[in-house]
Amino acid sequence: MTEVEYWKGVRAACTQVVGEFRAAGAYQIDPRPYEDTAGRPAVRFTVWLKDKPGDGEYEWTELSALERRLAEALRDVDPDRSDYTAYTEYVLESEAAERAAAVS
Amino acid sequence: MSLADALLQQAWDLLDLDPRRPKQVNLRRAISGAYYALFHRLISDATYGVTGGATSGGATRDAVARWFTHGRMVATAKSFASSLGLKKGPVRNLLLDTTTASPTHRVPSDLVDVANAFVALQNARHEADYDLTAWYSRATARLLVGRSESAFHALQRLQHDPTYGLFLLLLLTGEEIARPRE
Repeated sequence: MTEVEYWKGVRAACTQVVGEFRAAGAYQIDPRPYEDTAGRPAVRFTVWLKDKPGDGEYEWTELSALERRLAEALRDVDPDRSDYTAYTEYVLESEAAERAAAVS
Repeated sequence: MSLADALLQQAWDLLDLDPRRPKQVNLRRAISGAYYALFHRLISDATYGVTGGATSGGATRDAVARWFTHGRMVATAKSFASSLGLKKGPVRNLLLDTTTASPTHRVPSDLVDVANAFVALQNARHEADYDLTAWYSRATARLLVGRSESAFHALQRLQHDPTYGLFLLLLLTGEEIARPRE
């Protein structure tokens, strides 16, 4: 599998997973290449989340299933690719503008 | 309170320091603390297994604690997190059931969660401590600290699990220690 094919598969997997977790608050998942602490290639996800009513906060237990599903989806894209290291960042809708300003 | 528990509590406290607009430095320290909390909790469990709970073993326990390395621990965590991380050899034979047509990973789900958390938190800590371009949302920091706490709860449930004992041993030694007898 080429890199182009791999990343096409990863993006499709993100679309699939976000559809499954829309009710949990996720509305977009963006993947990008990333290097783990050992300098090995990996995938990093940015998960965009709807704000919770009344300044509520997300708990890990609500989103752990989403991360597990992302890991499964990645393995489905290429079962032989063993360099996957989970790294996921989460951004709330209300934080999007601040993040854009910070990373631009 | 143990060092691991104190680090976890400190991470939560850092998240609550700025109710309106969180300071990046506090989020970075919270993420780093969330990793070190789990790092020290695992080492504490492992060294307890070596020296027992006797008060007199404190000096030995502290000395053994310094033998653990981040790199070896994360390599072991990857092996337990997914069968994809397993190198061919005796450890793979213990953790992978190859008697069926499609081999299955024989690691309790709580331990898989702990191993995944360790890998993710180490990556996050590395970035939080060294990548000056990184930006953190409160949600990310909160979820990482929550992930560390969730791993603590899973470890509580694993205390008498033999696979967890093997995990703790390999965190110290790495898989290289397991060689078939000639």
